[in-house]
Amino acid sequence: MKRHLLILIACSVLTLLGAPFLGESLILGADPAGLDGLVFWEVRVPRVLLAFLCGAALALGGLVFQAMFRNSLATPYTLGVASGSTFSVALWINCGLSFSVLGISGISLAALVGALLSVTLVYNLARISGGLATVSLLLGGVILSFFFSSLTMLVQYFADAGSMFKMMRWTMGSLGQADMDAVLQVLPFVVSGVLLIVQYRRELDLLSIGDELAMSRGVEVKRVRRILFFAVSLMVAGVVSVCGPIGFVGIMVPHFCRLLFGVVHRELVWMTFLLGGIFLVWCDTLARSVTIGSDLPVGIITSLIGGPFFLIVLLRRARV
Amino acid sequence: MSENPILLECRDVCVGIRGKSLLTNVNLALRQGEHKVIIGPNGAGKTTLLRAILGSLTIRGGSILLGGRELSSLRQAEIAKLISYVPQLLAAEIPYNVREFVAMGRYAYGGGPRDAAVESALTAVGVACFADRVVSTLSGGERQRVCIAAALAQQAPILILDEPLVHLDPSQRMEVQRVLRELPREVTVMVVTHDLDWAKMNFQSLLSLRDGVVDYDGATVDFYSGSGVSRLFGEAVGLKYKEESI
Repeated sequence: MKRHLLILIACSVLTLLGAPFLGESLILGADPAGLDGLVFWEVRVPRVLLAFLCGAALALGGLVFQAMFRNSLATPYTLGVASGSTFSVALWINCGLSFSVLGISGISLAALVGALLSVTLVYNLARISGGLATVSLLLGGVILSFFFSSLTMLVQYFADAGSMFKMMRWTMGSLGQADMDAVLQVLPFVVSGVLLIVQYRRELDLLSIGDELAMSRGVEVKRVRRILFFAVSLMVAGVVSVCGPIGFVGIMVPHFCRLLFGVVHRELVWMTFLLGGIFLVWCDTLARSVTIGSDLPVGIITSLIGGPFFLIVLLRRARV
Repeated sequence: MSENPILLECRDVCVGIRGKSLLTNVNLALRQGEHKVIIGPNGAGKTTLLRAILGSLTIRGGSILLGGRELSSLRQAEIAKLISYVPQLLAAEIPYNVREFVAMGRYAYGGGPRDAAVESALTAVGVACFADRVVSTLSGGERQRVCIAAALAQQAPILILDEPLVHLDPSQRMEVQRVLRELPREVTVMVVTHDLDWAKMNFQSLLSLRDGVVDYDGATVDFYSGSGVSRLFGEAVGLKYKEESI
């Protein structure tokens, strides 16, 4: 286990050091004052950092949801949390408001409100309609997801051309706005989410075997669940407010990690975090390398890889 | 036995969900070292009673005392140090290996797989030999023994089991029955079951529920020789057990 973690840490460092050199053009030994140097330090480095943070946060959020709901298809994306968050950001952009509270931008707060709202909705929807581990959870999530997506489109429909383009690009999930400010905007959300989650690594194991058993072993199920919901909402909100919804990282990476490293969450939490970061950095490197002059929203790449993967997971589950 | 201290007590416990009454004025006392069985027809409130005692649902009236303290005032981890629980046969996918699963019983103590209690629990129910296998790949009887091991690792004075024999084939049932018979003497046991023969043979005291009300609470022998069985399950079943006890 320890060795796997070390390998992943090494891969993360290599990724973070290596990826900025790659892209549309290879930048090697650039003069820091020249154009290449500018592109390297002002565009690529922040972008790689942002991709790593977002990928790591989304993957970890997926892992936590999958353990909590005992369902390998549960992620902030499939359960409608990301789309709830997206909707409230779209609404925010359209209203053209801007202020910040304690250095946290309004857009991030809007994202957080949307995320918390939808997580509460989907949880209660599933609980009322018959159990968390069942299909009703995913059904509730999908319904909610569509509902919020429609609302988002409605907001876009009535928006003026300028903010509409901004929203369009943004709802595709893109890391194009990356600069150091964006990194610093996401960082506190991700760090606080991760710090909360690592406190509850043992509880994740227990929750994943069932609420009743977890409770009889001594877990304060309701309280832990609430804290974890909040932690995941924090991370998702941070990511969504800057990059928009980036799908499928949250379902693929945790799944791979469980296959590769086993199911005990003590280490799995860290592995998933690192692999999620690595995965999104390379997806994004691909996104900004394949087209000349502009970059493909990374959401397209992850969904193109993720769609078929999702299907495979689904089919394999159906066969068991 | 009757001088032993009372570990668990229910006083006039009432439980209801959405206006429907599930348990009415249930009284129950469980003394240290006692082996008590709870029987009753389906829907009589047996599982509800267990869930109330485990603190997973809130009671509408009365009180539940655990070691003399009000259940609702205890934290979940404190309850876990007093009561361990074996649910009905695990149908859910448990991807953990046996040792990891049993070690989860140490949660309330902040312990883990290296605790001595884990090793002794594994040996006590004879599952140490497959401690590295994944729980979901085990047979029903093995899984049930693993669950009992996990409960024992919790080192709680009271062990509660919900229908431990259901869905098991005859040899697996014997396997689990043997494990339960060989439990350490100081463990207090409370079992919910539909198996009237097993209840008759293995438990000194019996409590029966009917429509959320306690129908009988006392010595098992008297329940079977009296009209207890026929009150719960009808004349035909009652007659069979009456003949047997004569």
